[in-house]
Amino acid sequence: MIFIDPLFLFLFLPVTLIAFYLALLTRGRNEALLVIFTASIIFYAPYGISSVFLLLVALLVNFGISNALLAMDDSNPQRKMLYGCGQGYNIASLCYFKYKVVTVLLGDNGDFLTDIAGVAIPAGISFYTFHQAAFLADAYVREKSVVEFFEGTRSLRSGFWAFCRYGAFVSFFPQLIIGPITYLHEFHPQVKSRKFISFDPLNIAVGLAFISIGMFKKVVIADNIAPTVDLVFGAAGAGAVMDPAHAWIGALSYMAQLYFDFSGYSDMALGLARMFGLLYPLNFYSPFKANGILDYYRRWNMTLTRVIARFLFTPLSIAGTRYCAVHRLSPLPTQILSLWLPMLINFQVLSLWHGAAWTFVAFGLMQGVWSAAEAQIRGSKKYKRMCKVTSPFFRLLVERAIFFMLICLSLAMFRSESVGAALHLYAQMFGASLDAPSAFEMREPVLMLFCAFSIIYLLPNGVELLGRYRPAMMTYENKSYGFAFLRKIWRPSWGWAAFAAILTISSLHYVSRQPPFLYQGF
Amino acid sequence: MGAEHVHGRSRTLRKKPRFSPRWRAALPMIVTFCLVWLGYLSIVTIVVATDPYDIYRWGARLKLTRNDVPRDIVVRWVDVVSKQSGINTFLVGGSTTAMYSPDDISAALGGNVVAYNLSYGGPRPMDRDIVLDQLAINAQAKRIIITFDWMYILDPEKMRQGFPEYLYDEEVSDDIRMVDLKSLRRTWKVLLGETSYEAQDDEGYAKFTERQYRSFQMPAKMAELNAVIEEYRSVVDTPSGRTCASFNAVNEQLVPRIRKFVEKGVQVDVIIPILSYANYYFRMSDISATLLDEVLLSRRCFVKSIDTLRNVRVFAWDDDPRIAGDLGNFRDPGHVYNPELLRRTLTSLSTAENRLTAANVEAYERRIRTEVKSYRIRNSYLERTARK
Repeated sequence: MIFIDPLFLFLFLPVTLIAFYLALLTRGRNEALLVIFTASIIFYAPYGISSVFLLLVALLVNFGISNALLAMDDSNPQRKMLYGCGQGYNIASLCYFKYKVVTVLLGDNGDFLTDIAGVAIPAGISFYTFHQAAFLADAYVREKSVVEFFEGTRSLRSGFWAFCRYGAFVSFFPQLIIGPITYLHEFHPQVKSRKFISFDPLNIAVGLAFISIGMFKKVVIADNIAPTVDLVFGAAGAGAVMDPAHAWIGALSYMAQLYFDFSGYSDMALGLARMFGLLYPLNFYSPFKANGILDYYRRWNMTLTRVIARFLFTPLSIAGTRYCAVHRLSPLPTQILSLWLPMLINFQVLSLWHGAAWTFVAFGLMQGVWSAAEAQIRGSKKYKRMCKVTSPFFRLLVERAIFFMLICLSLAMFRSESVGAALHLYAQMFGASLDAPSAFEMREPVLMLFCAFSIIYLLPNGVELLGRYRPAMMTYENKSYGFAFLRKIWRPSWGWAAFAAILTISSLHYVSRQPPFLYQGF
Repeated sequence: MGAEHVHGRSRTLRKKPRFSPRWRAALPMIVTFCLVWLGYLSIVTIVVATDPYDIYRWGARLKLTRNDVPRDIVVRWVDVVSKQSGINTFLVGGSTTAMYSPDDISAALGGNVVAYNLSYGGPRPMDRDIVLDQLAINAQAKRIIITFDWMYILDPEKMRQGFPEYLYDEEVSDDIRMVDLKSLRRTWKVLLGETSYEAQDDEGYAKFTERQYRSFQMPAKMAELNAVIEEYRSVVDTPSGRTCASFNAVNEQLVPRIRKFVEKGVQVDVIIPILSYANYYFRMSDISATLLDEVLLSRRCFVKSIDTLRNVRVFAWDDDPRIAGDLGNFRDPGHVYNPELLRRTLTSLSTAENRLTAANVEAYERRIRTEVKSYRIRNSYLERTARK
């Protein structure tokens, strides 16, 4: 199921909500979480029985290993090995089912191994695998919430309830397919609190507002921009010529499509979770208002950024810095080992996480080089001196302009069918075929782009709009830009309810088309 | 007085508000969305119960009484049309054949032909296959006319944007997606007892094509096309490297489908739509850089693969430069406007002229290749108007 499916919105969600609150108010937490877990499996079932089976196996493996890790003594040499096995399972299942490593290595000679790998990539595998990998790491270091979570799970009955709680934590349907990737210490305290076992109608109101905003962004804005994107990138893939204006419109349209698609999903995920009385970490916060690539990744798919930074960039950077300090290396190799190399690896992994394609390799390389260069520049004395003599507003404009241009080009690589197609599109964008015939009427796409970028730059994001009701956990401290008077203005009044209803009804007008969220493909 | 006042105050103090402040605050949103929820489910129930597209057993048995082409909803109309027992000839095409009315087809084919036109703009292999599948399941067709468009060079999984595949699949739960304004209007009409469909867009469509023709027949447009042709003349014939085996939409969808129709005794006529020679240059930018080679190769492969089948005929006219080389016949490089030419192409189906067979397809292909490569813009309409 997907969030914009009327079957989900008008049947699945109300039934699940009623069952959840009935279980919560009449039976208790465990039963309510069992409802969530069961509903999430039902939600996931249309993606295929094999996908459900794989999810359940992954849950059992990670739950079992985490439990064992907590039960083992720190001095036990097998503990580290067990942890390695758990993470090995997570990485191997990603490599096998998502990257089809066996198929690549063995071709048709892999018999049943290749046959199993040949099934469609299980939906959300990248998200729930990272989710569980982070949980396993927390279990290994005996993070407080994880320890609490497993307390008193010695009997079969308590073990069963603990597994249901774990299943609800990992597979909770608002975040199962596209995130956010959550830590247990963000989920567990909420579930444990007294507030959780009560029904707060404001949660429903805030959730509905988020869902209507998110659905509008996805169905009305992103999906109406999509045809232009498909046309231009399809033509670039076919090596067709096009005039620069059309090529730029295509690249900018993809920026807007991806933005509203992911933003719409993130809003809907926050809203859905909120309807169940849960706050989730923020995953999307006006990324195109960033003043550089480093700021961008603190606003875009934020929970993925923090997981990769925690498990990859930080350890690599620390190791590099230590190595340089121990061996007393000169500044240049120190910069390379503590900044450039970790950055390049970090962004390569971040990029390949989306899938195994050369376009993602190129995209990762672009983002890595750009990030390292930006970090280097921002850390330089020259930049700091310049900051003292220039106005922040002017600097923001210049930085944002540079950022906009570069992110547009790198996202064009991200979307292209091949590296060759991306290079071809770049050539068209920069005037390789000035006299090429018009591929499509420009008026409507340009109008759509104007509306889309006006919303992006002039209006507050969903979280800012609903700021009065603490709509999400802040993943990073991000600066808000734009008109301050527009922030926190939403209230569950009749006027705003009518506004939300209009957004919903406008979205329902387009209900016959159901393109999946773009991030579902990753 | 005083006692009453005290009594009254104590009653006021004891009186509990009907809703807690949090409920009161959330009420507008909850009430509004309950109304949206109820309203939507009621509408879904009414639409499904009415079945304006005749997809269920209880469907509204609609009558096609006018000589209409339901261009506005033809993609949702496939079951309605295919379940009409009186219709024995179907034209399944794209925008190149959307102008034919059922009467045009019947008149051109003669005899006791009762025809219907299921042409819609921008078909793609997957949705074309679904339409043919629905015809195979529901229709009592004696003849099916299919256009072999350029889109058969595409991947078989490609589907036209907005095609309602959910109406034609086995899955019932996704039928809820049909509930939109278009369906509501149709349902409303059916509920009012209007079971005969009137598209009422023939006049609008005629005006639209005429407007297109007028705006295309301009010296400036021809100069623009000429510039494109001169720029890409050297590369227009670039080999695509494709082979017959690579046209999966032809091999896996169209040919097997035609075979099944033939087995059921249906006559299948395939029309190759007339594209102007300029079109091969013009559409290089949005379809493929090797469009000419791919289109001609797909035609050759298709003709050879069905050549041995009885009751299957292929018709093509565009190897004649007086037709495909004269832009005066077109409303844009890919669509014929000339009414006389349009009539002639349909009449060929009964006179069996301009047939393409395995024996002549290579010569046909060579002629088009040569004509396209050496093409210089010609426009009889502009020549005539200039003389006047």
